[in-house]
Amino acid sequence: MKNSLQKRFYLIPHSLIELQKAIVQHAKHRFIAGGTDLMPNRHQGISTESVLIDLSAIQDLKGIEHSPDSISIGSMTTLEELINNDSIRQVFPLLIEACRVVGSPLIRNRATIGGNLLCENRCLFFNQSAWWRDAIGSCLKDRGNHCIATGSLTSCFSAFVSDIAPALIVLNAKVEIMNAAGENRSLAIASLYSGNGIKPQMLEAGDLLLRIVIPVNKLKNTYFRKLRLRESLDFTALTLAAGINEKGVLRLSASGIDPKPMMLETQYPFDLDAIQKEVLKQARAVENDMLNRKYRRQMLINFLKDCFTQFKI
Amino acid sequence: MSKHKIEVHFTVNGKAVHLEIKPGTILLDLIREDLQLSGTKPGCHEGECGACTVLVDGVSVNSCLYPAVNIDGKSLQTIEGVSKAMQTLSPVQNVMLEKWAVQCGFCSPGMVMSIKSFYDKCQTKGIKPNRSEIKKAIEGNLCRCTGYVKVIDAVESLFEQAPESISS
Repeated sequence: MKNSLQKRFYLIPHSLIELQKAIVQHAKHRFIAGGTDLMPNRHQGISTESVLIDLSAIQDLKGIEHSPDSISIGSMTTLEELINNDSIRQVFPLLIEACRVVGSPLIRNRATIGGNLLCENRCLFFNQSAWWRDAIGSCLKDRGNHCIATGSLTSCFSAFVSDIAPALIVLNAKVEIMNAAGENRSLAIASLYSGNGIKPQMLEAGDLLLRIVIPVNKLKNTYFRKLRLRESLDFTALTLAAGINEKGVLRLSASGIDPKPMMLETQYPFDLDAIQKEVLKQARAVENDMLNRKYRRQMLINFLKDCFTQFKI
Repeated sequence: MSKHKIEVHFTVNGKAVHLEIKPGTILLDLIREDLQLSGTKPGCHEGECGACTVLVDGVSVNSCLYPAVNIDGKSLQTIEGVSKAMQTLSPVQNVMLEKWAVQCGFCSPGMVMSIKSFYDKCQTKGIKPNRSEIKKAIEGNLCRCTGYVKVIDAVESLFEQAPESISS
């Protein structure tokens, strides 16, 4: 371990107040939720923070609350809890579909919705063991000086791989964030993401994802598909979520093909060529996945056509 | 909240345990090194193979991804705890033997824990899963020998047996 001489801390605050004290004491820290993304990264030495703050004992971050016009999901709610929740199943079947394709049942028992939204971007040249990375050289995301996938000296194209974010973007969800000073703010999910593969989230140190709030908006039809090498376990090579409401407003979102989620909203009558063009423009996929760039971009168009057929547009 | 060493109190296979562990310890190492229970197998260390599956408060988890400090106050069950006093095999183990769902045996402890957790969940909900649901339920456990057919046969057979003979 690179920082084996440093003191390591593992803090488990039991309330938001205790959490804020921990943040003040340790400005450089990393939150750990279910750990299913962070722990492999720590084994591989690509997450090396010496202070981890465990969020699992904070009750305020758990549970699902209903109001007549929205459902609020605590960021530490596990994917298995979501899948088994009757009202989520009735109101947001798209979200259930997205939860079901994440990892395996073992992973979903621990993985949280907040952790999924804020999971680390991935790349074939970054998510490797220390030996592997030593052999090939460090990339931009790994404190190196160039991107191994593209040769770029400035831009990292590690892929955004959350399957749940595209579904929540289609559902027009918002996230509530608490900053280090204890002030809350609410923002659309899409504005969480920077598009910069090195620092993919627009969050400052100490910013905590409290909950996700989804408005109860009836969608006439929804679509969800995930592309990956194996039918389970794998992170996404391309996930497309879509929804259309009674007024003919179509929302599309995809992950796996860019450092941030692709997002598009358009209204009937639809210009299918323009939609395809815009979607491809946002899909800045590079050769950093087991499935190649050309194939993933073609599959994005195929999924899109499949979605249009299903929506009868 | 403390530094260097953290105290954890929990039960393992019904027995109360108290340990002092380093903050970075994973549950898998706690089980194999501190508790000397080597039935839980280390595999990929990234939550992919399921060889290290154990039950925490009855829920199946990858112990390689589970920070050991989180076991505090919980109940841990490992493969050593599925049969009574380690003398007879549990119904899941028996059905796996009957159906030849074991070859080299390295994945078997994890498989048994995942199947047990799935079976208990289905029993609580009163569900009898079909073959494709069984496949989905054990998709977090990889096996390089059996090709899965016999493992799935075993789980199907488990659900066909009378419920009272299954609950362990």
